[in-house]
Amino acid sequence: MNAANLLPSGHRRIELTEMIGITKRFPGVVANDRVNFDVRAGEIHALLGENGAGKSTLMHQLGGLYVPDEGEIRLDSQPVDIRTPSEALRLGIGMIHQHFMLVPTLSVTENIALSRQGGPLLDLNSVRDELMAVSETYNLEINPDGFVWQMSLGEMKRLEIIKALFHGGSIVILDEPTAVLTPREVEDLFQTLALMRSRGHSLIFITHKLNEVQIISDRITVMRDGSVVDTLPNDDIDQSTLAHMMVGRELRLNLEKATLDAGDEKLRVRNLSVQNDYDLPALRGINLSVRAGEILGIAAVSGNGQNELAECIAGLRPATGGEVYLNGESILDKSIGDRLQAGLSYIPEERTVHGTIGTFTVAENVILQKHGTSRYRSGPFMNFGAIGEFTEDLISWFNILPRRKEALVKNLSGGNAQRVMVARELSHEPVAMVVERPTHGVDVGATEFIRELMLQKREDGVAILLISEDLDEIMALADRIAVIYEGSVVDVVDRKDAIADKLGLLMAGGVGQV
Amino acid sequence: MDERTLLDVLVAASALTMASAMPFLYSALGEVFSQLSGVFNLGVEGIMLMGAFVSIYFASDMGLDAGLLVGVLAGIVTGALLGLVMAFVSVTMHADQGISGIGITLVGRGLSTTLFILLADGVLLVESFQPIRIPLLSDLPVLGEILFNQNIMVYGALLLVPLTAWLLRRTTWGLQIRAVGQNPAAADAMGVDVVRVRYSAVILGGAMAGLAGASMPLALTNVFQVNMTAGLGFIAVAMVYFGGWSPWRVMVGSLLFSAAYNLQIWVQVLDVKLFGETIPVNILLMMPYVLAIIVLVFARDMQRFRPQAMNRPFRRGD
Repeated sequence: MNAANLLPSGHRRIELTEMIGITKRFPGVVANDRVNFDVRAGEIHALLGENGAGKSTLMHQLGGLYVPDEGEIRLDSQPVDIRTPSEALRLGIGMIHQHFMLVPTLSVTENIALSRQGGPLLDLNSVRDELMAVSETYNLEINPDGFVWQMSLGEMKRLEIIKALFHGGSIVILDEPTAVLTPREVEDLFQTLALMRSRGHSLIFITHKLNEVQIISDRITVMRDGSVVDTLPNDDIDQSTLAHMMVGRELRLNLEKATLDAGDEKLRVRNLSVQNDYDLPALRGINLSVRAGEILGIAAVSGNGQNELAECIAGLRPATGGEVYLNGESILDKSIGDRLQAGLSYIPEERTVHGTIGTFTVAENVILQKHGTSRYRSGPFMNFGAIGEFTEDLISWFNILPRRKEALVKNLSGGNAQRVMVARELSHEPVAMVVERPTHGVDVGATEFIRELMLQKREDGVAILLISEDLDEIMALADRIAVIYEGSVVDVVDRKDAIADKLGLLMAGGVGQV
Repeated sequence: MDERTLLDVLVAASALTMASAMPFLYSALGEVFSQLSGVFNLGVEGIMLMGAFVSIYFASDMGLDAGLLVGVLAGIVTGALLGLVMAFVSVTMHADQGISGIGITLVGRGLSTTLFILLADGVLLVESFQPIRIPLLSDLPVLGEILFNQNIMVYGALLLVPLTAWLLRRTTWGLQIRAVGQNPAAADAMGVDVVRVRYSAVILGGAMAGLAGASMPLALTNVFQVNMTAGLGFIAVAMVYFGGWSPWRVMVGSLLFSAAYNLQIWVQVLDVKLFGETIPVNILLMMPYVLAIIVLVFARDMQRFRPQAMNRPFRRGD
């Protein structure tokens, strides 16, 4: 074996990975239908598709989490049978999952050492040396003795990459790696990926973000409904063509935003301080104001206090100082129910935790805040007739699939569960809305729909506080943008004066004027 | 009471505290392994009772008369077998851990009582392990009597504390245990056999609960009594929380609870008066359990060390 066939770590380099005629069925669904896919050494191959298109399922079969029902996987023309994640690792396939596969209570070195099937005694020193060697070869800075629970999401992603490389990952699968990263961290990640490509790794990049695909990939495979639509080289394809392939219809990528004069101040946050779950200050006396017909975007990297801000306004978390006014009236002493009555609507980040009840039907979920009102009950009993009509109306307005009010929300796709929650929150004519990451983990179709709805509400004169880590989303929707870093408002700028790069820098704690 | 005798009383009380901390130590350290791996074993109480009965039945001349060491071994094997049952039900069959543990406790309690009556006619006495004076060290003033004039099972329990800490920190298996209890999916993806690691931890925890049970008749009381653990196994489970899953803090907890047990005995013996009245025995007997509840309320900060996957069966791909 000559040196050209080796990776910098000395592991064998796999030149060609093929998945041929892969079919995978789950009860009631064909998740992958005779899919063909291949990736070569020194290539970044983007796998593009909406949620539920079958991208992750396909890659889970390469990573050993699922076994294909039909079809064959070949590494350098040799058929392989991958039945467990550890077999995949042994063959040189490393998978970096969307959710972190790290043990938070262990140190960086201990996390890497987990896979070491060495002797009974831990040899952390040699693991640390090897991991630092990987870290240097690929310019991935890491503190080997730091604990994972203390790391930022960007550092954690870096650790995941080191972990894959440590095991000689010739093929590295990245499942939506940018979902939790700041723009600066995304840039760093892309540099790392380019370096890995130049060292002869085969990279598979799962995403639904069109711009990232265009920046980083060499070839693009688009999937829809469990099948491959097409595989093409990344040159001269425009985003709308890709979007069309992905969704199966034309999408309006650039939203039209009506020019409006903002009205009276509806929501005001004055000198508000809030603590996080560990009783540490999360917000340090911030001031914000949102007027009718205005969207105020909050740009912040996760964990800088924006989540606590939303929870405090919604009534889920007490304030330690300051005031929140809705329509000029202080609401901090009001119960959650009273805040709803006063016209506050809240779309939380974790739809499965705070937003919906999975084991309830669509009808039960949309009526949650209204079941006590006279219209939807007769005496102490629920008025199922009225509730049913109301739900069916919402299902058709919000295009919720399946069109069955008895469907359990936990069985709905992410995008449809999000529609259920948004439908409920918008159905009571709010004065002000607090919206947290409304399109996070939602497919392109639902994203477009939800963004258009928010703009519609803006035109209706609702004051909207939009919290998102997705700068593109904030740039597309907001009228003004407030950047929050470590619990303080760093700057508030008008949308038309905002530049994405500078916002990203401020979000990451950089100094300077936008 | 002159000073000399007060000191003697304190030394004797402390020595007894060390000895009666022994069953707590064995059972709670075993539960540390089990819980760290993600299995909350509430069956400790029942496993201890079975370990206690089987061990004295093997050891006593009123039973099989096989000697103390065989008795201890029989207690360990019994505990390991019940640990295997717990592992099968909770790891392989994905049953709810709390309910499975309660089942094991009820079986252990009932079975030990039934066998005691059937096989031993309700009487089992044994000549228990005798104290071994450690040369030189036992001559130390105060400490010598408290620490170095105990029986071999007390020494064993104390030595298990650093041994447990070392196993968890410094061995591959310890690292795997800590990982599968926090994030089994991550451990699985790294090639760790989650099922095997959990089985090994739960079986070891069971064996140690069996050993804890054996230590009561063979190294503490000389007799078997129906339901002799009297909730001690449950306190051991609570102590693992109190100790934040650390062997050293579990040792502190064991000594604290043991002191509480002994304090009530000494309060009775010395007939301590409160407002001129003798304190009712039932109130005194309650104290360790009340202490357990109070401590758990104040130990809620320890939750951050909690194995996040505890009580959650693991299935790949979930």
